[in-house]
Amino acid sequence: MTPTPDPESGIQRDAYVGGVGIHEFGRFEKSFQEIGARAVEEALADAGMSIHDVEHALCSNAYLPVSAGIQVFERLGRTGIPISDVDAASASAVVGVEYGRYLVGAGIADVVLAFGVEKSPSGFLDPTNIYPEWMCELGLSQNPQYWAMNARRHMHEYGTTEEQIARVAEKNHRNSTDNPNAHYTEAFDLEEVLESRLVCDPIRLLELCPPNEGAAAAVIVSEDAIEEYGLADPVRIGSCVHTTSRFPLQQVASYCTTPTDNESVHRQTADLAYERAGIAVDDVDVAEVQDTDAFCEIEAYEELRFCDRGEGGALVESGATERDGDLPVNVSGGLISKGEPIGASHLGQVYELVLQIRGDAGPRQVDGVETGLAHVYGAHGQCGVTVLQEP
Amino acid sequence: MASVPFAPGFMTGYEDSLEDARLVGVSCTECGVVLFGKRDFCENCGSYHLAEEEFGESGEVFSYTVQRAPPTPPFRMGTSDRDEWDPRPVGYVDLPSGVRILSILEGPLEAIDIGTPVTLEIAPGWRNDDGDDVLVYRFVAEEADR
Repeated sequence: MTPTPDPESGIQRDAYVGGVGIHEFGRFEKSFQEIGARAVEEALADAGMSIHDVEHALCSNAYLPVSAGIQVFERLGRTGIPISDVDAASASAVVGVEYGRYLVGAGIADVVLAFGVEKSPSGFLDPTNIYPEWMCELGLSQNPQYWAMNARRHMHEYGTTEEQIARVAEKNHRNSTDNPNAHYTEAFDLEEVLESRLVCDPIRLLELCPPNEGAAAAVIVSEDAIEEYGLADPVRIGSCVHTTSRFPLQQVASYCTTPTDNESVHRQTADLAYERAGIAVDDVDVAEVQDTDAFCEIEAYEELRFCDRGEGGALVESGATERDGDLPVNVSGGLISKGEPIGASHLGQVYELVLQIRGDAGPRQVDGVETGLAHVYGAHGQCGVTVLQEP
Repeated sequence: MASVPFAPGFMTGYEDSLEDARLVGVSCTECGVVLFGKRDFCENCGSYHLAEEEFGESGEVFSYTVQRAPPTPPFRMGTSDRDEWDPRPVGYVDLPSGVRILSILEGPLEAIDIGTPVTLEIAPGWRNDDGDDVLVYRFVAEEADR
């Protein structure tokens, strides 16, 4: 069963990413308005546009005050356009891209700005924002515990090892040394990862992504706008799908996870994204996936069908997901090294994929990228997948 | 002074003796799923045809982890000071009715593994602002030296 009415029926034309921008991810002595404005300015400059060309804007965030989007526009110019905030936890920025695609696809707008900005609190996120009060009082409210239990069960069922999980972190930290926009850009060898302190067994400090601050933006345009502005290198949005988990939630806060026959939210989302883009998983040349912790990336391999269930540990061990492998994953360094500005993280992935498809990713460049996939997953079962393609 | 459960709708039989206290939930008469805690609607299928169910005391660990750092406020069951924190196991426990619930686990870390048999214990966890004992649940590893 399709979880939402098929929106493709309303799409009359393709939508493209005409420009991208980013404010590096990390911790800054700056307001979210400044951080957000930087990414928007860069995206508009990349598309050769000004703020006056934007017809509609969507600001993704999860931890900011009300109407953060217009607060960013106060710095760039109040042009009077509709600007709304969208929250879907870690999938917030998917919604901006998705709705931008629909507005362009339905012929309502030719230029839509999707931007994400965040200033997340440091350390463990405020648990009362996610969990019922009683779970916080009992201390059943540490995010990593859910991912850790999922990892432990996977190890039990499939023989996945702590070394394989650490290998994901080692790879992503190594990839980050070529990404100036990442929060942490230091390489750690396998031993250092495995010797870092346990946070929630079997997950260790260097295997975890820190919530942080940052922004990213994409200008979503029609073919008419591509022509009007003379955009040389647009990237087509093949599909952009947001869904939420059926019962039970996996990996995220839940005090009851009685098993059911329901499909996993990752697979439910990814299968729709493949179908709507008209591609098979074999068509994906490079992927950015939600590595909230190192194990999550292994699970993403399996749920997104990069390999069979139970084979994710072997896949990372084989080197297939390295930058020079068959299906490079998180060549940007992933969230483990970039950090996760919750509302902006997916647009950060889109930024990376657009550069990869254009061939502009510098030392991170993967050879011959025509199709890229970005995947996020977070609190309350919010999931999203975007497929970007060379036109 | 009275004893009150950690939240409404999760516990029964605690009024007279903690020995009789049990966890409760609902089973859906339409889709069959069993859920921890009373509800008006089934979280799985949206049905309102739910039957209240009292859960047994014996279960099995489905998966577990160890909290190596203390939970942050408003944690009430111990310190939030990292230096004073003793690592604490938590896990998902499968009960005979098919429900899978999240719980604090008790027992030496080496006694806890996937498949370990565990038994329900309901006891005061902290005292609230009204001076009442707040009753909480945990599952104790049977081999644990108590």
